[in-house]
Amino acid sequence: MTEVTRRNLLKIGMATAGVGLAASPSAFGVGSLIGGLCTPDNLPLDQDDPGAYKWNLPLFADPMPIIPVAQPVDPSLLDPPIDPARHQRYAEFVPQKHYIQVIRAFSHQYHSSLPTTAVWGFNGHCPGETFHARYGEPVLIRRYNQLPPDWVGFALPSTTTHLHNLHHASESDGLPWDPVPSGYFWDYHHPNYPAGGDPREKQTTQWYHDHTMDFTATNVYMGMTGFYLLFDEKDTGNENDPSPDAFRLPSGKYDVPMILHDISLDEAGQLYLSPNTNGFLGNLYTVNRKVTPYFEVEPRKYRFRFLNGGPSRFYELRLRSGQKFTVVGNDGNLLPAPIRADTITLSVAQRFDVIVDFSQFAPGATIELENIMEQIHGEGPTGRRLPNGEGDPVMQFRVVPLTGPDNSRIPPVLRKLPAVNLKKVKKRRLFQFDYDGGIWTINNRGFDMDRVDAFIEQGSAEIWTIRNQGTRWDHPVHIHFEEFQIISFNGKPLSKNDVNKSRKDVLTLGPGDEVELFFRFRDYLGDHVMHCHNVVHEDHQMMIRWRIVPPSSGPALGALIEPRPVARLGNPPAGF
Amino acid sequence: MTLGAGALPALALTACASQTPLGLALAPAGQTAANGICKKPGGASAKYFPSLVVLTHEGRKAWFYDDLIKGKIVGINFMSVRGEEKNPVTHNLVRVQNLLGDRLGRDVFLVSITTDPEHDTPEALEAFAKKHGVKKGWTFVTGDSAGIGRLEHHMGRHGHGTAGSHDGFRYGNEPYGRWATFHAMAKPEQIALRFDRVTVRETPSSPKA
Repeated sequence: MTEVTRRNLLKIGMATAGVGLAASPSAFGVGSLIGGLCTPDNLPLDQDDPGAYKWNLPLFADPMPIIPVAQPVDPSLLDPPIDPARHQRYAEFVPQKHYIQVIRAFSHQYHSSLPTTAVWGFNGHCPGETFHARYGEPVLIRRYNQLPPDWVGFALPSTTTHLHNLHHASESDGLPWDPVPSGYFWDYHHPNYPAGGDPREKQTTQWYHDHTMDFTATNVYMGMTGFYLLFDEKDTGNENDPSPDAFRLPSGKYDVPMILHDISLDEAGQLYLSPNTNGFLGNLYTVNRKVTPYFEVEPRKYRFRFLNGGPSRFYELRLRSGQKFTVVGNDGNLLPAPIRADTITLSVAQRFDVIVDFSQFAPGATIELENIMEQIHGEGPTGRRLPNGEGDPVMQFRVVPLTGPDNSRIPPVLRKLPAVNLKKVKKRRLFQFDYDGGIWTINNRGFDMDRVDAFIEQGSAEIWTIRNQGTRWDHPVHIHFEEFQIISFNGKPLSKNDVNKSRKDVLTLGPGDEVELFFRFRDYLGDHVMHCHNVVHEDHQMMIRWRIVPPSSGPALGALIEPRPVARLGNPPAGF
Repeated sequence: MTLGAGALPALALTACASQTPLGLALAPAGQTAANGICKKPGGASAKYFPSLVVLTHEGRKAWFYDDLIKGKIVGINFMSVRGEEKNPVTHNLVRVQNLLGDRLGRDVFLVSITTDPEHDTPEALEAFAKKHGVKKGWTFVTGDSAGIGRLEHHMGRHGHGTAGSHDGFRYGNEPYGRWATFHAMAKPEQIALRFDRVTVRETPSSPKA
């Protein structure tokens, strides 16, 4: 068991910033670093959080939790029954599987040396259960909010659960203006249908999380996250699949979703979130809501699905063994072909599907996963990397004996990218991300849930230019419903081997960056959002609402549900 | 184990009794000092606010947190008399005042902090409040520039970008520890809605709130 040393503490705040400096004292003096940390009015950053206690916890003390898989229920348990009139295109995508999730408060132990912590989660799980969905098999998830309405703490016991990056109707997206208060429920209908019916648009690793207006950071921080995985006839989830079309990526217990969150706890072991508006950095790393855990692996290939669950930290993950990752997916989409990478960089909400092969290791070997991205405040990384081997420990892999043959493969070709047809572009738009007096703005405005900032014709294509006006801060920009491809990044196209040359839903903007994105808008009408996924920025109004409207020619796919549905009053059935 | 709000040991440590009745709002569980562990003053949000003395437009001294925030549902913004013409935030909040009706001064309170303390004396703020028809429950405060700077810093008011016309509107329910930030120049209806969202009621709140 390894003790956390001062060196291993996350680099937040002035006191620990100096620790990172020790790595290269001549390159970056203390004075200049502290100067660089000052805000425009020369006040120090709000990192002296009075409630964040620095727990000195043994590293790699607990096994990484394996998130349970969600199990369907008999639809007769849904009482009152599903109301098809609340959903666009319901008759075309009648649910074949039904699920119930009850959102409650409960106790969770983040580390075996900690007292239990009050968290929120789904069916008593934090993270919530992982959904295994298949294309062509629509599902309906009924979520009940059973949080205590008189909850005392920073979070708001009202929910709305966004299924991040899924292609589904607005009313099932879990939007900020669709609140589900305590005592209510909402039906989320997911058709599991690729955008435009195009098989190249199929997705693989998505996730769900709370999206409550002004309270997303707080509610996600309390535990409201989980995975939603999609499978199809190629990415079948079976490494022994005899089908010649099957990719046979590592599957079953060798296909492991991992959600990264950084947290801070107070002296009593309860979650602490500071009120600062720049972004929040926790001082403990967690994987699947366990502090710096270990995970036993066999000497064979694994598919790891890494997700940065936020709230504000960026990661550059590296294996201390020096092994490369074989990246097969970015933002929940399989790449055209695998890409080998020494490190993977995740801004908030980003996902990477990677294959790691432990076959060269003998049982007993240990390999640590570290984060070499230096970050000392919530606005974004400093731009420096910690030296290899001296990054923050995130978790440890422990090699145990092989229990069977590894029949998994890494196919040389995965999912082709849909063509970018610029002739289809009907409109170009510019969105500038900035900061103004405590509010994070887009095009000089804060979020207004009643204001539609862009009307987009269904079936059209558009190019959006996203510009970061800031000189110091980063923004992981997330766009709901339709994925984009990057046309140019600061005026240049991406190289073929760039992992970001893929379908994406999160765009990471550094200071001054300007990026052109290509979109198509298909299949449903209605409202969605674009926002910064540094959820503290999002909660401080860095969000717009946009709407897909009927096409000027041809019939519309879908029909707007009006008036917009509201949450229904009701409690879960017995046993839930 | 399923938890209710009353089962939070950590909050019980810091969330000591709030003496202010909340009218329609429930008194939060877990705030009593029955276990004897509550030794220092302060509500559920004490650690989130600087402890300093300000001057009100009514000419009295007040502890910013203890007297203006603790035990209340409250909205906090920044303003200045001279800045009102360019950025009419007080005009906007007067419309919020009208929407709040008799909740203002009963369980919802507004606190406006001047960013121009040298000019905005208590007397100047009193005249300004009177001119705008400010009612009981809305307090304008000034103080020394260092103290005002602390409040600005603490509430994330770190200068301006290219527009220069936005300001945060921190709102929350102090006894329950719920705090968020909206923008002070947003539509008054949406600002008023925020107070509903952080209010705790005995019956389930409206799904539209």
